Amino acid sequence: MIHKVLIANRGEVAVRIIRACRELGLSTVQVYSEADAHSIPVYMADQAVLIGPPPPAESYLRGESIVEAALATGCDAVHPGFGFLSENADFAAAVQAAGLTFIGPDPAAIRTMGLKTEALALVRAAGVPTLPGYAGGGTDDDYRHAASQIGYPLLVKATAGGGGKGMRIVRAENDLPEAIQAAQREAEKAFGDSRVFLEKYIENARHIEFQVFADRHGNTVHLFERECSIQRRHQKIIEETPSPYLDAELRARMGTAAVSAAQAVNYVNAGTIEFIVDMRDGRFYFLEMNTRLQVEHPVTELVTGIDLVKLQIRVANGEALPFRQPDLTQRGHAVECRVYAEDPSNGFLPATGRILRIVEPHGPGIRVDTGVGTGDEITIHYDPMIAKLIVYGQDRADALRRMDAALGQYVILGLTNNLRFLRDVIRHPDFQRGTATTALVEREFAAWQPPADPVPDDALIAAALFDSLTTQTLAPGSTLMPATGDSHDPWARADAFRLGERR
Amino acid sequence: MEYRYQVGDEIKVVRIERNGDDYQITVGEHACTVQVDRLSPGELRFTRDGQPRLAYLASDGPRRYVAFDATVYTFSQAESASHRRRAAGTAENALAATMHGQVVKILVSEGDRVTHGQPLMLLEAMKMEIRITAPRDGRVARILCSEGQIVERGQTLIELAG
Repeated sequence: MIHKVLIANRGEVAVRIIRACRELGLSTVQVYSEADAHSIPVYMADQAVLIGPPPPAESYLRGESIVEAALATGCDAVHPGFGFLSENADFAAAVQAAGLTFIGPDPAAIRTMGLKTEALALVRAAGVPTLPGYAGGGTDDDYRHAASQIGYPLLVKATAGGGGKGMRIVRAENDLPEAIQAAQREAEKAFGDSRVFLEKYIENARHIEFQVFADRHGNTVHLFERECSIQRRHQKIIEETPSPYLDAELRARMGTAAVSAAQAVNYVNAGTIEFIVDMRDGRFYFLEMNTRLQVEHPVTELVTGIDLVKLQIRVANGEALPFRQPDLTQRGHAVECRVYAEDPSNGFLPATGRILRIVEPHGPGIRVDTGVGTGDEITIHYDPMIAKLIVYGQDRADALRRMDAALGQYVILGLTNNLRFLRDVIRHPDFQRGTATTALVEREFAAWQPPADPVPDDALIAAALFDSLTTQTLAPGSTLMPATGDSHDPWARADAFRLGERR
Repeated sequence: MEYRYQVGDEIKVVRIERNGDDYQITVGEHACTVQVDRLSPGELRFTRDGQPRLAYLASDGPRRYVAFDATVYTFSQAESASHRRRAAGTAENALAATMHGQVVKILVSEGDRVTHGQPLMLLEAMKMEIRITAPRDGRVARILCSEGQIVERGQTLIELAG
């Protein structure tokens, strides 16, 4: 039985896992790097253990330190979250070898699905459709020859990869060698494995994935799809379920294929089968399996009513799934927007810095999953995601209106972010109609600029009042705002609150 | 009390006079009466000419961030003229880092002739590779960083000439 869980991750997913553990009555241990010493999950967990300096390779990717921390604090299970070591078969094996429960699939399944070319061969044998490709490994000439057979455009992908890293689109033979080299470098950095393979690139595609879940009692089900077609740089930014594209017949066929793919590797626990759907003929192809919880899992939770993280822990505990396929239904509609510290008007370049002020939206059907708040910093060391904003509505139109309104309530000051951009994408006619493909952002938003609204007098008045009230009524050196993080005296603030109030 | 803000190319002047519980405020030529209803860290509720307004605020040095509804306005406390001249003085020929990151590879040497669009160096941040390319034809005058170096956003990496 699991009593105490070590969370081998950071940020919003760590917060998500701690919440699930708390609801199940389990104790939690949060590991953290020096950069995260004052992060939210460190304070939420029952215990926290420092595992190293900020670079992931010296902290969150150090499996041995994490296992050591789990043993030293008396944990009996490890939840890897997503990213970092979540799809590292050696880590899962090391956790098990230490006598701990790995909350996720078996190492063998992770290993097989982690090598994309092996996974493709295996699911193809199980009758699941895959795209034309070349497994790689040959000379430059082999790649060139294979590429001309597959036809351009094509994708160079990391064999050990995922998440858009080490991925390049190639449209002409001239660009192939450089794309392969760049992909190899990025793959080596991101995954410690420079191997790449080629795959046909479908231009006007929809990216639709299926959540699967399996227990150790022979049950494998799918929890329907997530539509993830809205992407930038091959990374998802908006996800929803149900997909506006699928009808009941195609949904059932893809669901069955997803279950077959999972069964092909004797999969246990939560996983996701990613498909690409060619809009020209409606055919679908297996892309890869993610052997972990997904970033976008909340939309599935909202429409199925199932807490996926708690279910992960229960299944890891040896329990059987409490439902069968016919018990599962989709109710209502859910949409998720990923709020990033990035500049959509400048190639989505990540932004770093301190969040001077954050005001999250609240209201019926609005959920914010985040690991940062006012005063926290987005650094170069980790993913620049600030939060996930998830809304639920009775139908798609209802959910989209709610998302639009919630994005409008969201305030982030001091850090470049994509809130306004997300709102414009949500309002785009193609997205509203449900016909958007993976090409939408590149095609329609390449020249996107934030609206240059003239600064209203009210904004200047507010700033001047604030400057006046915070400098005149406070003792020198104190300030109301956590501007650079060097003013942490709560009494100065409480005092100013009263002083500034109307008599 | 007078506050000056740089809004785009303009300097906006806000004058505040306290008058009992009220503030008489002028922005440029426009005058209004304001009550401060509630002030808490990063949040101000005020009434301007009878209209209640809620603003979220933050500052970072001279930068001011003010949010009303879904819109964030950014401007600065006005700087001195000499400071502005210095900021504008950085040459067009200088290519700066677009973000904080690490120089992975420098693909050219000082004195090399380069053509528009040619990759000059590779930066890496958050596991992303960013290519710095030549904005025009020219010659590499100076290289101001080295492979492996961590560079700040805005830091000049390469200077072009010719």
